[in-house]
Amino acid sequence: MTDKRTDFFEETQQTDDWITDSLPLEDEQLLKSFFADNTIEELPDDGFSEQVMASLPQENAYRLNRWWRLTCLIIGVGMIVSLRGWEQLPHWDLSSVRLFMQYFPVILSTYLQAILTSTPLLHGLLIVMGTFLTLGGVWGYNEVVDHPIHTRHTSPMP
Amino acid sequence: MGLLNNDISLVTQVTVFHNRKAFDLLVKKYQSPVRLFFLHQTLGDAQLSDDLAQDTFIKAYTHMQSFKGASQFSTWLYRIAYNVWYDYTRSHKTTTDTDTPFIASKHAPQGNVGLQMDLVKALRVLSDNERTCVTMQLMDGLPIDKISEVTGLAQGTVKSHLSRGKQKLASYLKQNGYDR
Repeated sequence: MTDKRTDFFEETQQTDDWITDSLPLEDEQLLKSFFADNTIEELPDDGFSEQVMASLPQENAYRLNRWWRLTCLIIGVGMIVSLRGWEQLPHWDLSSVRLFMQYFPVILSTYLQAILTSTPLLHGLLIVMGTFLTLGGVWGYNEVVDHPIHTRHTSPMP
Repeated sequence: MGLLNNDISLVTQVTVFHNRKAFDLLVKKYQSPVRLFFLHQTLGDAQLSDDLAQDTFIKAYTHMQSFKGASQFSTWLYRIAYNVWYDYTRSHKTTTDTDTPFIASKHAPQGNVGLQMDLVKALRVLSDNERTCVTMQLMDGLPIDKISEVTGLAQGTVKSHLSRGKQKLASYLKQNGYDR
């Protein structure tokens, strides 16, 4: 056994465990000698670690991306529904698009102001429910998409 | 002790801060022994060994939270490697039992890639379990209790595999003139 190989297991030390009662000592020595002659000390990396790192799942990056996309989608759908956007589609042309881009910030701020300054309790409850619905949707979406990653490896873990 | 602290430090960085650089250091450190383990089990099939070793490290990365520190990180990693090999042999199992040399010879490539031919031929006479135990002891220097911890086999079973495996190897080496 080489120093490098024994370094791998810090607690490893030459023990007498390898001596089995049924095997003559000369046979034990023969085996020791044979394996000492044929042992490879260390394998060069040769790009193996880079290959491993490239294969690692990119969970965190995907998760952030999915959060953002789903949030934007929900906000977009909510605005289209609340502003009845489908009624405007037949009338859209380039000038309409230009007007939309021009007045979108005004529309958005007016909309948000209306929500924030509304006094009835029901409006506040709707906002809270909408928030929980968004967060729940994002969580559920992540769980569904991440499920294949967590069940890929089926053998028992140590 | 310094080495142990370094492993624990790197594992902590991976689990808490998702530090991929720390995991890269772990891979670089343990790629050789893990790949050598598979090289011995696959009788020198370098491509298969690297694939299985890669699976081992990916598993270690995705399940790093399950490492509780009860054993050394190297032992935990070795255990994952053994499970990966176990899964592979089960999924490629034929109707014969794994304690016969038949499956061992199926793994052997026609031309040796990673190991010397003498070693490949010698290891070929062993069954999967015997080869695992013998290579762990004689090439990696693990004591019997460590082999038992890694493989999940009882110590008595490990001793039995070692005894049978060494007898077969000794007979093979003598028949082929290695004792002269």
